Amino acid sequence: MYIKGVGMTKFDYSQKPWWAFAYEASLEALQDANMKASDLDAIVFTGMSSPAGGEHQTHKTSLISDLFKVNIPIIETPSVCAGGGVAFWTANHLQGFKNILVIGSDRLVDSRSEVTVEYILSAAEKVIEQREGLIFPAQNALVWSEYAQKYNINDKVLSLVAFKNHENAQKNPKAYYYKRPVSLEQIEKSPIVASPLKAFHCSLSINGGAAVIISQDPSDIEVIGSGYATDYILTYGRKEVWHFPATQKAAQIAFKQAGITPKDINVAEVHDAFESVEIFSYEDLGFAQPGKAPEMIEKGYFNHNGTLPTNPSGGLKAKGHPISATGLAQIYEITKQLRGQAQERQIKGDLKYGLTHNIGGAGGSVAVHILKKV
Amino acid sequence: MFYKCPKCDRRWQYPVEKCPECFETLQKMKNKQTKVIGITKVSIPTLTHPNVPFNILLLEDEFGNKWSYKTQREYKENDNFILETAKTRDAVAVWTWKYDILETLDKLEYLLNGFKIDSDSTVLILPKLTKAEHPYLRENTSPEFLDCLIKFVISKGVNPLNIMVGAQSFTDTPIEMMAQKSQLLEVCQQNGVNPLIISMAGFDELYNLRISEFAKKVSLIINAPILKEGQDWASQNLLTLLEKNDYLKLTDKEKKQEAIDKIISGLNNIVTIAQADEIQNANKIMETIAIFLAGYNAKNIDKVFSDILLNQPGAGKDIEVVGREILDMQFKPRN
Repeated sequence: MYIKGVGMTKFDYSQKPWWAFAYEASLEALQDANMKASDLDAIVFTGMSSPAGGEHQTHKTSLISDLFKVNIPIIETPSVCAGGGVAFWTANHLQGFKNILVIGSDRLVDSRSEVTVEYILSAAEKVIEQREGLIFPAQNALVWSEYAQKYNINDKVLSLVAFKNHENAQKNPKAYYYKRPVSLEQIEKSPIVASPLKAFHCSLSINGGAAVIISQDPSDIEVIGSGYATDYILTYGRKEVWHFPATQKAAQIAFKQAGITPKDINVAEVHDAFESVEIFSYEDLGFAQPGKAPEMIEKGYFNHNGTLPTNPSGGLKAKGHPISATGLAQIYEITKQLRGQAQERQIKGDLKYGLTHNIGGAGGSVAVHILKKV
Repeated sequence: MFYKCPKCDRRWQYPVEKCPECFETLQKMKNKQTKVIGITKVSIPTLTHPNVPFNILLLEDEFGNKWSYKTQREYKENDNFILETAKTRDAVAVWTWKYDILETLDKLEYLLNGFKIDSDSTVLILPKLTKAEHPYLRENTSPEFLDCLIKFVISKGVNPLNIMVGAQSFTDTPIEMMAQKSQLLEVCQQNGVNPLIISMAGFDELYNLRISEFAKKVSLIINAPILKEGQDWASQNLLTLLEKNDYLKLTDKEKKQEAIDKIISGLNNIVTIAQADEIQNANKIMETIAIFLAGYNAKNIDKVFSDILLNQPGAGKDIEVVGREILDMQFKPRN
């Protein structure tokens, strides 16, 4: 399949309903694709924010039909933080449809942070893990501690990744931290959330939407690899607890389909719900040997001017993480980069291959996609 | 608790019955040693964990199983993790329910140093049965809890014929209707135990109260209520033992408390095991609390429970609590 058009809203705290974010992003994608709603043959939607705002809309497919005035198949594929990636994977595996609009949107931040956390925690295991206080930062802190202990890693590398992503976001008009500089010192001095993870090591819960139109008709961007894998919701029931094996599996599938290796990738958007996750995901994706990613980060390998620029959008950390929109916002960014349309944040050089990596929960569902500039 | 397939060694924390690959019945993995292998200190409050900071331990047993455990106590990596048991008879044991009631009962028994049930025991179980309602409304003790409780008692060698499940109606609704709609009657029948309509048997004197003759005859009474937010059902359920006219004379809270005090001091064969896995909150809406509480002093259980749900913060501060600490379990249900 080929990418015809991409769109996304600015990620912010505006209080539009979830469908307004979806609509705004989709309109941009339609215009980008030079298409209209009646050209669509199917829509795949993902979102988890129906509890927010008291709306409780669970028949989103019908509401979307009303928005676009279409009567085509509309499929909903919720997979929390990986919703965007999984929706995109689903669209790529649907057969018999020429033009498919993929939408992700969420408005989860509509109340006190404790309430938002409760919404997000619906993506985790309620009785066995959450009763034990395992909010996502704690879950990821324990996974990071296992990783850091296994490879003897200093926690300071977490701040370096956050700093890199904040630097990138400053150049992205759709990122929350656009033109809002954050220093390494600020990151280091931010309060502990779940030791050793600090507030600035955690992504930014925010509202927003993103949309992508794929087509059987050739365009300038081809989807050449599409991998998806799942893993147990009980993080510590897995054999290995110092990384997310589902990333490895999804990446292996995507690279095998694409017929290329991690060394061929020119730009990547890697899921950094927590900066710890970005670090060990470099290894799970094949960009670094086990335990070696921190050293490469320190050397600037993943910086904007590095060998493999990663999260030029600012990532979930500094662009923001509107849960289900995130995976499609990654596709948006890589498409813009491969097309050479990323303006101030455009990565220099001849970009041919880009990768997106989108995780749901603490490694419970992972989608990896590889895009090629045709 | 972990469950494993005896054939392929796959493991679960969910109490599923059979392995989907081998179709073998899963076995419980009862561990003896637990070590702390990881710690994180959480500093931000959430709705369900308002008391910060707290620690989350990553624990590992001798089988290599790993799980998380919330605690206010400080540990170091490689520490042995050992649960202290009750030192006094007034202690309250609190343990988390993780879908397996039998596992929770085992843990509560351990925390209270045994329930003293053996093959010679005669047992009267008192579920909360006060309304003719379906189980999903959480008005009555759940059929799942009663079923597990009966199986737990039978597992100690007690003949089912020596187990009674007692109840009576203090309203115009016949107890038979309540027993049927709550599905508790069905549980008794399936397990071959005797349902007892307390009002149809004899009564003895206890102080100036008339109390079921079986209360003194059996070796153990298991008071097994389901709890509700803002109410004292652990102790109030004991009033089920009273003769109906005596009960109806208890027109105010003070009189009920007086009667409860008499039952607790007059009968030393009562243990309360209270269900608070999924309960009614103050608005009668189901809320997952995911705990069970047990002890020999039902009033203490009510105090600890109201402290946990922040209805009466501090109510349990002078009570010995074993298993899970009040501060660790505390949160305010969404009313």
